[in-house]
Amino acid sequence: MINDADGRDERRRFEALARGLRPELYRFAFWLARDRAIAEDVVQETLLRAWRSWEHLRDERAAKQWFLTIARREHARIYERKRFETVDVNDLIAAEAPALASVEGRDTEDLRQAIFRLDDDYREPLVLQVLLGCTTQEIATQMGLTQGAVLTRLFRARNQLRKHFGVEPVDDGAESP
Amino acid sequence: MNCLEFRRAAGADPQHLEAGALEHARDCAGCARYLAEIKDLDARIVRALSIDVPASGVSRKVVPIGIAPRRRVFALAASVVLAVGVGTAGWLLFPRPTLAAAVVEHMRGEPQSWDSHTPVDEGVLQAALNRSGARFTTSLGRMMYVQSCLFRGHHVPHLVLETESARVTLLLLPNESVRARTNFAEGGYEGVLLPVGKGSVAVLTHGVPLPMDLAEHISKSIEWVK
Repeated sequence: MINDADGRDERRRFEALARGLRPELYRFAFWLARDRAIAEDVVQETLLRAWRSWEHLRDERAAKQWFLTIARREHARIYERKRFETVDVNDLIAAEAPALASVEGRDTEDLRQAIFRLDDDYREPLVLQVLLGCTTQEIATQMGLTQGAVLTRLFRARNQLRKHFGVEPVDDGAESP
Repeated sequence: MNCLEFRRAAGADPQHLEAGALEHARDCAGCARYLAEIKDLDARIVRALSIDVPASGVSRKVVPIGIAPRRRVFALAASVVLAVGVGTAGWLLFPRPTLAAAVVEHMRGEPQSWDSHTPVDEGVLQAALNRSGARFTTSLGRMMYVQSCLFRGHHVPHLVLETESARVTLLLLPNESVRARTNFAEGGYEGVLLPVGKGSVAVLTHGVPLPMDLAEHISKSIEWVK
């Protein structure tokens, strides 16, 4: 039986954790969906589901991966519920121009657009590794892949970005992901 | 390991190369340049991925969810999301939270950092310091936790140092300047921001008083090498 005081403590713990993780969740959701409105929906749904399952999180050290797993599922659920029309990536970039704009200058904006154009299979592990600091094993678990497959995708993601900037890509050793 | 194998490994996970790969880079100038280029690319990718996060408004979805049969749970869930959203909105009313507030927020997101009982390998510490262009001029003691964390668009070393008087957390902030020493206390954290050259360092304790002389000693032991 949980009394009110315990409930308040739990709520405070949850709020503190969720507030700290919210920026990372939003950025993860944005780069998954490439859409600010969907990203906000994913974050809201993630927080709701996380709170409702809060008692199942035994180890707060695993909280970040736990929240990311929920966010990933929520993102997939949104696409299951709604049928989105296929949109040209250039239109997506135009629609999300405010999010892609950068005070740091043209180079950062250009790179944002190049990341926008990466296949989902390459963009997601790159975001998880470079932005969110996940290990390749954690990414493999999140995405249901082998660690080797994750390494291949990460290599190809960087190779494509290098190619975008006119650098000779390294032989990637295979034709398909 | 040959050059192609090295470049595939470095292009996939440049921060966690095996000893054999690092040895190859030491002996091969071309691959060393490749590794440096990939790390530079990663730094740019971090900046590119760090889009602005909007203040969270009241979710239009929260209210309709709060219905039977799990009315109480949903109502509480809704209120929590509202609290997180409104709270976050409060933090984001200003263009940027204060540095001290951002430090505390970061600490809240990594509560496990205080719990390590195993000293971190020196190589791991050096890798985190190198990534941010920082170094210590003297040995401070046993580092129990080392991470290279994304903080306000830059990777910064997040360290937990064990000393005789306290376990303290350090965030080395080469890109955050502070004019003067700034003390803060919030949510059980006691901390200080100290200027270090063009950057700064945040030193914090959790649940115990912060030894100020230790914080000063730490700040004088940091150098930026970039």
